[in-house]
Amino acid sequence: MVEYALKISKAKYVEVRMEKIEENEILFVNGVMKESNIKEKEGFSIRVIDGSMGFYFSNEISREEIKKGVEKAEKMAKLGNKRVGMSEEKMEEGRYEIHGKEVDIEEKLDFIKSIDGEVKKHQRVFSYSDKITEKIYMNSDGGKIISRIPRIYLYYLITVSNGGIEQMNREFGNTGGWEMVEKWDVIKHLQHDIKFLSDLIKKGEKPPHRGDVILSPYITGLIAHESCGHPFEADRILGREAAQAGKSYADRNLLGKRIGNECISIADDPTIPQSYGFYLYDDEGVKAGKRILIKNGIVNQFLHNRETAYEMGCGSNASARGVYGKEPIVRMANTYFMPGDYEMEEMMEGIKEGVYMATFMEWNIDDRRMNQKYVGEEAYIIKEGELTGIAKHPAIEISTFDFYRKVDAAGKNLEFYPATCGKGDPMQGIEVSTGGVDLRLRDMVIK
Amino acid sequence: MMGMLEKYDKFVAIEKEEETKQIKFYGGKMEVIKEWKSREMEWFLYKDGRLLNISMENADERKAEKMLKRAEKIFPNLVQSPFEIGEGRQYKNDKILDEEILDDERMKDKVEGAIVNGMEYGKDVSGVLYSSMEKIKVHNSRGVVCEDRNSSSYLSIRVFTQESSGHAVSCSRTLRNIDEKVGKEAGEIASMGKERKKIKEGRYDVILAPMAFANLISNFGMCASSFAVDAGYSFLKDKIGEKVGSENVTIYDSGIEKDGIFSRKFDDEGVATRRNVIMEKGIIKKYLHNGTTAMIHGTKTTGNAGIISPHPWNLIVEKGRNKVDDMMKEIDGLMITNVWYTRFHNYSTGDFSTVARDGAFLIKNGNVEYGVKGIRITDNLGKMLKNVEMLSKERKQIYWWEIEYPVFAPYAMVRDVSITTS
Repeated sequence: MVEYALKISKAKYVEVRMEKIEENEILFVNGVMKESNIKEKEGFSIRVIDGSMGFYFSNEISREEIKKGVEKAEKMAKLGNKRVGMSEEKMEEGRYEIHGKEVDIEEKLDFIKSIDGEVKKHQRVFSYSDKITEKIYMNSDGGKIISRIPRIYLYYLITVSNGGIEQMNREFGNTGGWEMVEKWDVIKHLQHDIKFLSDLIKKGEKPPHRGDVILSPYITGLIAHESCGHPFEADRILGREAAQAGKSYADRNLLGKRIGNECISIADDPTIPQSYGFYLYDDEGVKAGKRILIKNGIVNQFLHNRETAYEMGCGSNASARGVYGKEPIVRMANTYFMPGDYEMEEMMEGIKEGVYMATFMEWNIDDRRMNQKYVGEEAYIIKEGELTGIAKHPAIEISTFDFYRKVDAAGKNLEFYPATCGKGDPMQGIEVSTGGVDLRLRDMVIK
Repeated sequence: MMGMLEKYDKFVAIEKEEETKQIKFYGGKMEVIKEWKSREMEWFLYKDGRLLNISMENADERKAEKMLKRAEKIFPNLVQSPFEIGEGRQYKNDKILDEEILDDERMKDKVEGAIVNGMEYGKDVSGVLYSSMEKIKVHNSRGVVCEDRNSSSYLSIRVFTQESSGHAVSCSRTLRNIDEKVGKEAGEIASMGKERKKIKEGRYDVILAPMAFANLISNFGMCASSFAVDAGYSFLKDKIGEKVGSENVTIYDSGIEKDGIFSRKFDDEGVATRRNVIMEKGIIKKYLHNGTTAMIHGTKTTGNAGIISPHPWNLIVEKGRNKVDDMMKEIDGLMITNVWYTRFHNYSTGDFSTVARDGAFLIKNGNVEYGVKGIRITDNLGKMLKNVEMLSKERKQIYWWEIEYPVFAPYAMVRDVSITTS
């Protein structure tokens, strides 16, 4: 069917993506199973570039529907008035399959019941899912990629009411199967979070108004994603997302410029085994690899698909990702602050007063990715190089460039956290991970 | 295929066919035109106190039989949970339906018109036009078999000038009503208060334009879902009968709104949709329910299934009596035309922040003094609703990428709003 579409198309460029997804979801709320869902999705999408761009998706898989899809996409590509092109890339034929341990529903339910049993006294939500995505991708430039990727995921929200109300949520996720669940150590996190939230209600103190701040990988990963990954997406830089996810502080002139201290290096790497954002070839058939976005404080490269690479006169770095039924657009995979030289103890030394923020609940950022805010949920007060108490909801609001200039130490400890990145129109939530190390920022306003 | 479901104690089958087209433009040019065609089937099956949900695309008998075989193996392992299907067949259907809503040429004309209007203010004009036609059928074990067809469209356009930007939307169930003048509206916001300055953090009286107010009301609507209340995602827990907002604020949810783009004759259980008052003069009257949540809460369904989680259809804030110009004269404060990234620090308390996006202005003596930049609202949703002092008689249907449920929103003047800056 996929080859048939390529054969009948008369367009300058055509690509076909056939996808099948099998998914299982389980939702528990306050100990009650609200949902157990088995899903199957199967459909194809055709993208044509010939003048401008046309895109057609259908979940009716037949030769007639594929013929109709090709004709419609070709017609739609002629209706637009913006000229679109694709960069020249080495096209490959590739096949890769990841296999994870599969278990039956009984084991999944036993697991959820066991973690739910740990927090019976509290309001709580557990949302579990696993899915297998199979894709056949072909384009008229000779690319052909066949892949199978399983992913597994758990989210929880815990509400502790004990004279006050505090909440914590966490996500766990990997590429792989049930073997990953044991590595998550969910019960340990739950017990920790319940105790911390109770302590926060009882003992939370106002943070100092000014001081040094250490941010954990849980938060710095998010910052790498939001204030480097997103603004370095070339489609944003070109304005393609302007009416939805916004634009970027970056432009072509920023390449090679210093925007942060030496200790700031940020990479995005889709090829990290077991990572939530894992893939080996992107959805335009380009082979993936590690991309260093900021190197020792200097802007090194942006994230490109073939369309943005053509427009900016460079090559794609395999950042095209399409979720089921949607066009491939520029996306991150696993974005992270690269490790520095510091141990936590060394970072703490010499801090007279400040805070250590371990987790967040609230955060947001403006649509140029410049003005951002992070509010600590699990956070501690630092005095004379020691953690001395619990800080109640310390917040930092800072511009991206100020942030990168204020970091003076990066830790050795690289950790990754799963996330679902939102972008595109219609919204294309996609699996990524945010990674980071401990970072120390000097002389910050703390709210 | 429905015969296969008769063996279950209770069941709901939802079959949906949808065709959607989108024109996406940026830099003043149409770059991509897309079309999606899908057929989906969702079954909720209840047997021996256990609930299982099956979702299939483009289902035929073979696929359905295969999924049911899987289901049979899973059922005995499931945990028992309550499930009820609501009742209510007083269907009302005054909604507009546009059979021509997917017409390529008409869609293209709308986009071209909006771009021309926007480009009077700046060359950088971006946005999307969506048009969609949906056919939905619900069949349940109470003997309900009902069908509905819905058309909807929205145009979202953003105009950028050197210093600022403006955003406007037009939403309707018919393409004819999509107003190309939103290009002008967005352009006017972008060109107001050209000089943008930073302001000090503090408490300000704020006028929220419909796009900004709609964002907060859409979040409020989600908090009104009984699922959100039970799960810890809402500040409205235990607030029925309590005063949560100002006397000036009355908020409905309506599935029967004539031109509401999410209006539907019935909900996912086949229960007739209706108008539900969520907040009347500041007092919470009810949560949004499906059959199951209503049974658990000891009340009746409100026709808002979502079978797992009830949700709003179209949220409607009752209009005020004020002209926007008169509202501006009442404050020395801010006007915020749009917000995004509304994130809760604590869903249960309603503490949140949201970032001002597009034009935001310092207002003095009824006039725009200058544009402001780098601000966010850092406050509490309940407190803000209590501090709504004036609402405009002008009201607009708002829906776009950032808003989950459409809101018919007026301008709102809110006293004493906490504004923070970076």
